[in-house]
Order: sequence, then C-alpha cells, then structure tokens
Amino acid sequence: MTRKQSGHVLSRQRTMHLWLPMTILTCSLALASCDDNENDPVDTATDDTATGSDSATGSDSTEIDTNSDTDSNTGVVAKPATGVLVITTDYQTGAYSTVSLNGATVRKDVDFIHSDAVCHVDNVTGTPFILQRLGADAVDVLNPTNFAIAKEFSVEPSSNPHDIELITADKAYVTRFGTPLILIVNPTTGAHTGTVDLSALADADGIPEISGMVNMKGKLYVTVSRLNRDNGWEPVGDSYIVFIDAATGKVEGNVKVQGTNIVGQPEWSEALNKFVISQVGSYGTLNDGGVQLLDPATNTLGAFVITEATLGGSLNKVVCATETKCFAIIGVAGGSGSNTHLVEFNPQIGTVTGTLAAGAGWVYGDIVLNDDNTELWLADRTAAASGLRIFNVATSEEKTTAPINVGLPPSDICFTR
Amino acid sequence: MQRLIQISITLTAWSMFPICASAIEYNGADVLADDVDNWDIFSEFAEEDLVFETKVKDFQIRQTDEVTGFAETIDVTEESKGVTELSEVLSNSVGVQVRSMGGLGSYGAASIRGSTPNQVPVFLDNVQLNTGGFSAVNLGDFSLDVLDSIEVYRGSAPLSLGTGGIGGAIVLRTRVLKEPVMEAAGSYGSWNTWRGFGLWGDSVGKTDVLAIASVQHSDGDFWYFNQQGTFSNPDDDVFQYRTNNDHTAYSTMLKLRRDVDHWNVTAMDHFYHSDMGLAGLDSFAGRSNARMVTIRNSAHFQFERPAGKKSEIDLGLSYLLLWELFDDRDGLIGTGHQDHKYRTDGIGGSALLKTEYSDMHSTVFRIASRFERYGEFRKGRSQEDQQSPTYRVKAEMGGEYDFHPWSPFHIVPTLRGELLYSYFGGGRITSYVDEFEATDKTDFYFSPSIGVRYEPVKGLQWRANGGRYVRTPDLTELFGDRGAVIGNPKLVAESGYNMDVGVTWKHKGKSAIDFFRLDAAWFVSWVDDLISLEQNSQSTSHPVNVGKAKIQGAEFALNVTMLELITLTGNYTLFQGVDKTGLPQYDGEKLPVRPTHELYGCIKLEKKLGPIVLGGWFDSDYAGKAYLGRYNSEKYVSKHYYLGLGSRVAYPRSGLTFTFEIKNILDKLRFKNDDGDWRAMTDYGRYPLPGRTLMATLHWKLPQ
Repeated sequence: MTRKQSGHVLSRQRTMHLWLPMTILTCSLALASCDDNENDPVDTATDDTATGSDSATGSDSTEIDTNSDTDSNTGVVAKPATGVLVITTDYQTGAYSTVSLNGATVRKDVDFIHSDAVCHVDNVTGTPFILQRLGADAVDVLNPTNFAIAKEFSVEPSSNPHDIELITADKAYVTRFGTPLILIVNPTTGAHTGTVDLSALADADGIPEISGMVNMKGKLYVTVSRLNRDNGWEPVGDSYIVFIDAATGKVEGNVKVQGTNIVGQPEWSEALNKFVISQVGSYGTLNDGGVQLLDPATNTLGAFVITEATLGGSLNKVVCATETKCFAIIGVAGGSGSNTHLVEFNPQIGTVTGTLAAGAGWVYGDIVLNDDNTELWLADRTAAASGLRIFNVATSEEKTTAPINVGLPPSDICFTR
Repeated sequence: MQRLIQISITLTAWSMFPICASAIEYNGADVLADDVDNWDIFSEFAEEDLVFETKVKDFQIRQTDEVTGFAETIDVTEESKGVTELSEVLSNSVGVQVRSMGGLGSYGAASIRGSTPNQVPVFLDNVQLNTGGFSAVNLGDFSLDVLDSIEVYRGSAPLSLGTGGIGGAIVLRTRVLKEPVMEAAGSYGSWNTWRGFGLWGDSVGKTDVLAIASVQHSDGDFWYFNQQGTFSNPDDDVFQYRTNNDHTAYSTMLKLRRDVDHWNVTAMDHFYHSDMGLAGLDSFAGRSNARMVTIRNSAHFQFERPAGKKSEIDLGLSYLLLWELFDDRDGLIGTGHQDHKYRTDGIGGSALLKTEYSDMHSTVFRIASRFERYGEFRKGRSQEDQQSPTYRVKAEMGGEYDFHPWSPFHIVPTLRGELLYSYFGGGRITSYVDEFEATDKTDFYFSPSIGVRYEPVKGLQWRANGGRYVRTPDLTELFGDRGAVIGNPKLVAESGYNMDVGVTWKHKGKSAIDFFRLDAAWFVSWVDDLISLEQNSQSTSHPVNVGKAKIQGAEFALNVTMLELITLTGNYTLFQGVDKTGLPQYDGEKLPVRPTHELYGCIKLEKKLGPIVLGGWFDSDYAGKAYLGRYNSEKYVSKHYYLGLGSRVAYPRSGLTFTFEIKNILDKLRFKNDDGDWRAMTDYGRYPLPGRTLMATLHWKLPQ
C-alpha cells in the first residue's frame, strides 16, 4: 500500500504550464513541481539508473511536459521527502496525521477519514492521495502544503480502491479490488474518464483482485492476485503482474509470479534496481509464498530470493535497502492468535539475518524506507503503545526510544514531498 | 406474598390509547398490582365503560414496581391498533438507547444505561434470546402484535430472570388470554407498508387457547440523504430512495393453558419468519442484492403449583431455534461472496421455588441449565473447511432473600452463580495463520447484589441497589465465526459494578390531577474487561479483554393525567460514559453511540363523545450528539430529533378503531454537526433512518 520512496522515478509528470490554470489540486501539483531538487543526493542516484532521466529533467521539473507522455524512456526525479503522512485507524474510526522527518513534530488527526484507508504520495509532484477503501470507496487529494482535503470523489460504491497512479494533472489510474476494471479519473475534477478491463484475468468469481500499482517510465505495473471470494479469499491458480501502457491504457502483457496472492504493490528497490514482489499465498501456509524480484528492463522475474518457509511466517510487506539487506513483516502463529514480526534477510543468499521486533498480535501495519535508505519506519499498532518506530538500517537497531504517537494506531506510512 | 394475584382492573376510556411510551405502564396493570397493597384505586378508577380486564397470574411475573431495582412495564396491547416497532417503543423508554438500521424490520439493538447491546439479556417470556451465550438480540425480529407488555429492568434484574446483565434486562411478555377475544387489524402506509393481524382466544374445554397470526411488509424504499461515502465533499451529496430494503415477516403464536391437578400448565410456541433485503451502507444505493432470512421458533412450557402452604414452585422448559440465512453471493455489501447459514439450537430448563416463611422473610431459589449448539455452513467451501460446531452448557443457581422487617422496608440480597462449559472442535481458519486445536473452556462466575426499597410515606418509594454483574463471552468471541472474527478462548467475562439510587413518587389525585408519577434515579457503573475487537490478520479481528469504562447518569420520568382528558408523559436521560481503558488513544474519550442528553415527551388527549371516543397525541423524541466511534471525531456523529402526531377514532360498540399516525413530521433526514457539515439521520453510522412516514390502521375487536 505504501510507496517505496527511494528517490527513483516511479511516475512521470509533464508540462507545468498545463497545470497552472487548474483548481486547487492543480495548484498544488504545480507548486510541488517547482521545487528544486538539484542538490538532493537522491537525484544523483537516479542518474545511475536505467530510467534515462537527464539532469535537466531531474533538477528542474518545470521541464516536465505532459504532452510527451508516450516517451516511456524519460523519467523525472522524485522530490525529496519533506515529512511523513500516516494513516491511522482502529477500524471504527480513521484519521491521518503528519510527522516531521526527525519524528519530533506530530500533527495528529489532520482530518478524519474512512476507517479503512491507505495513502499514496506522487513522487514527482508531491501530491498526497488517500484511498478510502471499501465502504467509502473514494479518493482524497490533499493539499501538499497543509494536508487539508482539497478534493474528494467517489470511485464507485463498493469498488474498494487500493492504489492510484498520477499520470498527468488530469489523468490518474485507480486500481479497485472489488471490480475487474481499473478506473481512469481526472483527479482535478473527479470525473471518471475511462477504464482498463482486466476481467480476462479474473478467476471464477469474476474479479481478479487488482491491488498494487506502480508507474515506471510510462508503464504501469499492476498486481493481480486472483482470490476466491467464495472461500475466504484463498488464492485461486496463478497471480500476475500486468503491464499497462500508462498513456493509452492498453494492456501490454503480464508475467506470472512464482507464488500467489501478491501483497501490496511492487516495491522499487534502488539498490537492487528491481521491483520486490512479495507473495503470501494462503495465510498460514508457508510453502506457497516468497519474495521475487522483477526486472523492469526485461519484465522478467527471478526465482524466489527467499521463501516464507525460510522466513518462518506469512509474508506481508517487504522492502530492500541494500543488495544484502531487506526487511519484511511476517505473520507467525503463536499465543492466542497471529503475531507479526519485523525481520531482516539477505536476498543474495536467501537467509534470515535477524529479527528487529516481535509484536504480540497482528500489530505491524507497514514499513517504509526513507529516501537514502538509512532509516526504516515501522507502523506499530500495539494497542498499549502504538505509533511510528524508526530503525537504523545499517545497525538494525531502533532509533526511537518509544513509538511516536500519531493518535490512533498507524496502518500506513507515506513520505510527503 | 404467597398469592396468585387475581386482579380485575378497570380503566376509563382515557387509557385506551397508550401510544405515548415510557410512562404508559403507570396506567396499566403493573402499577395497579403494586398499588394493591397500598391504594384502593380500583373503585376510584372504575367507571361504567370497562375497556378491558386484566388478570395477573404467575407470581414469577414480578411486577416491575415490586422489585428493588428501577424498572418499568410498558403495556403494548394497544399497539396492535397502529404500526409501531419494538425498537421504537423501547427507544422512547427512559434509560434505553436503541440503534436501528432504518426501516420496518431492520436490525435494531438496545442498550440500557450506556451498556453495550450484548450486555442486555432479552427474554421472550422465560426464553433467553441472546444466542451463543450473550450476543446482541435483534429487536427488528419481533412483532408487537404477539406481545402483551415489555418489562425493562435498568441496572439490576430479579433472580427469576436468571443471569442478570450488566445493563439490566428486557423481558418481552407474550399475550395472555384474559377473556374470550377476537381481533383483526389491517394497516397501510408509506413505503408500501402493510400489515395484517388476527387474534383469537377462548376456552376450549378446560384449556385456554390463544392464537395470533400477523404478517407485515414494507418496501422500505424511503427517501434519504446519501453522502456517497465522501464526507468531505458536500457537492456530490444527493437525496435518493433506499433500495433493497424490503422486509416481509410472518409471525404466529399459539398459547395453551390448562390446570392439571394442582399444576397450572402453560405451553407457548412463537414462530417468526422474515425475509429482508440488506440495503447496505448509504452509498451502496442500487447495488446490493443481499438478503437475510431469519427463522426463529421459541417454545416454552411452564408448570406452576403451590408447594405446601408457604411455597410455590415453577418449572420451565424451553427450546429456541434460530436460523439465519445470509445471502450476499455477489459480495456487494460485505467482504467476499457469502451464502451462509447459521443455526443455533438452545434447550433449557429451570426450577424456581419461592417460599414465604413469614411476613418478614421470603426467599426465592432458582436453578437452571441451558445447552446450546451453534453451527454454520458456508456454501462454496469443502466439508473439511466448514467450521466445527460450538457448544455451550450453562448451569445457573441463585438465591434471593427478601427481608422486610416492617411493611414498607425491603432489603433483598441476591447471589447468583453461573457455571459454563464451552467447546469448539477446532480446525483451520481461512485467511489466518493459526490452526485451532479443539478447545474447551470452563468458567464460573458469581454475581452478588443487594437492593433496598423503602416507602417512608404512602406513594413515595426510595430505591437503592448495588451489585456485580457479568457478561460472559459469547461463542463467536470465544471460538470465532471462521470469517471476520477469530475466537479467543482466553477471554474472561466482562464485569460491571452497578450502583443506583432514586425515588418514585406516585400521587393519585381527587381533583384535576387524576394521576401523577415521578421517577428519578442516579446511576453509576464501572465496567471492566470489556471485550474489543483488534485486527489480527489481513482480514480478521480478534476479541480481547481491554476495555474499561465508567458510566454515570440520571434518569427522570414523569407521568401526569389530568381532567380525565390529558395525559402527559416524558422522560429525560443524562448520560456520561467515559472510556477508562488506559490506552492513550481512548483514555478519556466519550463512549460512542451514547448521547449525553435524551429527551422524550408526549401529550395525549382523549375524550368520549357519545358513542365515539376521539383521541390524539403529539410526541417528540430528541437524542443529542453522540460520537459514532470509540475515538471521538466531530466529523462522525449522530443526533436525531423527531416529532410525531397521531389521531384515533374508536366506536366501542362496534369494536372498530381507526388510527392515523405521522412519524417524523418534519421529515428530518439530516442535521448539521458542530463543524456545520450535513450528516444523515442515523443510529448506526452509515444506515439512514426514514423520513416522514404515514400509517393508517383499522382495528376491530369483538365487542364484549
């Protein structure tokens, strides 16, 4: 649900001048795009990637041209992180808060939202989005300055939106878990402008369970898990990563993952130069899931770099900070219910190298890496002491002495830009 | 006290229309039963126009004024002359909050004095309806047509009801045959709502027979305020019709009563069937085709007789079947496709011995047991993936000692014990990493309490009560439902320490004031080990004992009848419930869905004009702001303010009565929260309540 904020190009935005006349959303997009990233060390890293971004595009986003959407080999550099947006919930009430990068300043409950929601911040424009999932089925566009809700629109009742990718100021894709159609919207107006039909991949229940989505160089990487709604969301057959041309909405193909039931969205790893694909299979069964790496250059997957059996639990979120250090939230049996652990593993040799934290209950909601991969932020929902915890990636030791209280227990983390 | 009460009650015409709830009981049999010892009011109220005669029998049917606790009896026999729901009647009662999902037959649950709905045991006569141990009872599943009265016990309940709840108890008393009777009624109104009702009762040989059948239907397609799930965007708010909100229900009751030797034997069977559409959240308009079919059968046998000169014995046997079929095959309102059947079977027996040793001492001893099996079948899953049934055996025992050293003073200590054995066959839980072993659990709980009732001067009664009550985890909480809830066998019972004190002042005037009654009470309770759901996996929750709360408030109820023409009833509940869980996110928050202020008032006029009786009433129901979530947010609050109006014309000689009612006259569909944003009128967060509703009923009763 949350975004890997590695500073690499995961979205493309173009043409500043087209954004300026638009509404408050457009204004926020424009303002966000005018920031100068020239001195951001993250930008330097993007030059080494295969995205083909040049320094002009990376350092001056005013060069972005939405008219050149089809130029899939050109990327733009992500804006540097300015803070953290946190979705909080007790599954009865939902809210969101913001936290400064050093964790010292917390603005609790900026607003209240649906109790099941996730966040997404567009790397390029810095536009924050909140996807209010089943029950609200709406998308919120936040003002990137004060994080007030600038625009809210429905994406069809009971459709269960899971992810959004902003392509241009007036075009975004929204994956919806409850329908076989990816929705194309104008995020400025909320108008529904089209759909991308993935019903051909649906299992017998008619819905392919489309969830995570990432835009890279004009190509959308979309997860399709294919779960059986008639039998407790157990995976049915194969799961896929689907490739869609972001400019045209055309489905270009797909690749079958080794396991099933992909968790979250493809997580870009700057260090590995690949997407990390986490697959849980059936919860509680450890021989059907693992972590694969997807090479966007070839759109091919390698074998599991580590399996659930090796990890010792059901996979949830996975992020990779270096070539030899990844982190995962896993669910393990024990006590009077399932527990979640935060573990680290080496994807090169496929071994677990440590356990950073062991929660009592299903309490770890999300992990994200900061821009330079030096910090790992954990959303800890432990009832008696919920909040954000920060770990030093290099030492795997916790930097926070106590969870940063963000109001309700946190469930999802995004870096704002 | 050793008595089989035989009371003939006569009421004047002004009591024909007990539409205004809450204080209705003060005109009815229960008050009069209490007054038997004190006032000779019958002769004063008796007039030539006898409307009905009530024979109160069964010592176990304790009159609510005779207990030390705060309670009332709501007479609902006249409700068959109109279209009123059980939820509506209870919500107008002091200290009771009802949350309804909107529309005839829709789900509704009651809480008392800030309790949770599953802390309130609900009985149909002597059959406890909370299945699985103590789950909340859906009030939408009852037709008032089969009921004679409703007893509401606030905070404490008499031993005869078995295990008391933390909130108190609600008893639905089915009709009893008082005389040969025949009734029929038909109603029609808004949302294509119609209702038919028939009742026949007579003595067949030595057996009293009472048979009731009723059917009701509503399309439920009322106009409502739809915010489309976008609470921060008023621009897309619309008014539209509720869809897939229809409800059709059939209900029958057969009650037989006969004296066999020294035994008074009663057999009762109540069958209820409903088929309803589930509209889902407000924003799901036009999308849901989910349905719920409910079949419930309650059978009860009761055997009563004197035991010697000082004792009475009461034996009871009961069987409860609850079958629910939930069909959301397209997964439109829930998560995942569901075509599930749930069945609960409960068999119980009880024995009660009441002995009056002298004028100063009497005791009640009660033992009871109940066996319950809960099973579910989920279509689309293999046999081995079906959940194993769960079982519970409960044994209860208790004693109550009523010590009244002098007539107006009663002190009643009570001790209850409850032994529970629960069993689950185990198995794997879909979407969950653990596999459950077969599990059993044995618990014992005791609930001591004490109550005092003192009448220092005639008509003025002081009451005070204190006690510890428990709410045992239900089977779903212990063992899960293989869907959204993963059981926790380590749960312990929720416990509550309740205390209340108050006064009742009754006055029967001989001038302009025909009758006056004022009730005032202050209550406080500390509730511990509240069971809350915490997320336990990607799609499941897990109940844990984490909650604590302090609840206090005050209740006031007033009933005045003047000039044999006007009846004023009203009540006010002041409530403060604070979360004391200790978790930083909740500590100090107000308990959700409990308004600080609740006010109900009704004025009723009734006059006999020659052969015709004319009546009319106007009522007002206000519930102040209540937070919808445990984590208080001004954005998500509920509030309501309704006005109602009704008129009735009766022609007693023919037995005909015509009633016309308007509910929610102002057609209030929405309100503004403190931020100035519109919110729909709801009890539950996203389930709108209907607007202006018109109903007409023609009722016929065989003239006596």
